[in-house]
Amino acid sequence: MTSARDAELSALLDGALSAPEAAALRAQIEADPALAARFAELAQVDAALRALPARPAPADLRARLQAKLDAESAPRTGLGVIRGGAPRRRRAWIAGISAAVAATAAALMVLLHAPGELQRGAPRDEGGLAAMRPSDTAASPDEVALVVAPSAVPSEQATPSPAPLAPPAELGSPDASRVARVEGAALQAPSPSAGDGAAHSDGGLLDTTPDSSAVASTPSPQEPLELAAANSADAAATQRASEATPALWVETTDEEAEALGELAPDDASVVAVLDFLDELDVLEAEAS
Amino acid sequence: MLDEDVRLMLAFRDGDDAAFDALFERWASKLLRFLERMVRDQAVAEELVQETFLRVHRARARYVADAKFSTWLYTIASNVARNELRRPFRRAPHDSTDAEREGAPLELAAEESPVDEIVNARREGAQVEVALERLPERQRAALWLAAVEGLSYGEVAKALETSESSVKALVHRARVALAEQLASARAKLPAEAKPVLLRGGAR
Repeated sequence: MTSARDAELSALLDGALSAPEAAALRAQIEADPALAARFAELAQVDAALRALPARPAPADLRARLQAKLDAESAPRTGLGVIRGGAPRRRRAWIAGISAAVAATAAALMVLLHAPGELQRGAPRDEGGLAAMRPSDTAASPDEVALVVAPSAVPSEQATPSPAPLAPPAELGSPDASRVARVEGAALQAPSPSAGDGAAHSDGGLLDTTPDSSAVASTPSPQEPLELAAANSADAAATQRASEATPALWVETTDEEAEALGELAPDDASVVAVLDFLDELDVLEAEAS
Repeated sequence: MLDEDVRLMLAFRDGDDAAFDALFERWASKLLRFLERMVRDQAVAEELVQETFLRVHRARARYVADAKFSTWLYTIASNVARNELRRPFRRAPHDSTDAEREGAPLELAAEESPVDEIVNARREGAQVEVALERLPERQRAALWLAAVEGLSYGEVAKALETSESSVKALVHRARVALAEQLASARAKLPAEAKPVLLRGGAR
């Protein structure tokens, strides 16, 4: 039996053959015991799969969805509603990349260097994906740094950042503090005294770090990348850009995210960026 | 003639919120079943069902009835699952990637010993479930959508953003892999009976 014939058996099971093709193959199956046995073997897989028990959706699932829908229709700030979830975050980065890489980088630098702010503002704003898995966002700062400075690898990094990155104090504007609070909520940043550091046990950049200076001085594979990102752009210009357009850090605008391809998966540029991010995931995993 | 789901979606687009409820009723359980197979975690799958419907809700204004509703819904769900599976540092019961899993031999969770027909049937279900979990992501999705949900290859191709010929190959490879698992499990009849360990326990 050829493998091509074998694949036709699957196609027959899936109703993917034309009527004449299906009839011809059925005739062959009837005439050929070996072929019939093979067909039965494959058909049993389908029967076994279909026999798997189906768990009904939990009774509260609709109510949980409604809570999220209500949150979406709540009044938005300049940065939109708070909502977690890795998929949207990734799309949001794409928005940042395509809109203004430098400005996004600067905005993220602000976030990266304000963990104290993150920790103080750690109320749990929502119970979505992010809240469920606090380690989500621990990975995001360094990943963004990688996106911003894809060519920078730790070994190339020798010089320290020439200009201090935005200190936490600059988070005083309403929009910026909103960002910090959003991230704080998602991070559930543990304070060392809370004895709850296990939530960040996967070595994330923000792992139980009590203040911003500790982040900057913690030797980690990610640090040089951040600094390289800062060096690679005019820090002052990017800082201004970020102040002018804080909404580039968009956890928030679903229309943008969707416009970027969630419902238009054929958009080649979006696919290319996603593939690029996937490659970065691999590099990142290898580096750590 | 429109199918009932398309009719509901169009009604929802035009402002009928009850139609959204009806769509949720019709599809939540099926989506949950699909997403559980994809992410191998009940709680995460429930979150992803919500995420899928959130996207349906957000996209309502732009909805056009140019495809079967189920194809559109599974496209969204597949993207949601794909994003979840590619999330860095994803915490999941099985944390190996598909790339790592691709080359690894399939193995069953435990040796089995058919005590009687009923136990055997249940065990076969458990085996196919374990074997399914170990398939590469795209094979798993393609087989499930084609063999269980009944999507055509063209519809699966759309949902998984690939070609029909790829779908045909994916489905067949997956089916052959599972068939081999079931056959070898049936052939092996060890004396010692061990429970088949299923992660999660609550299935």
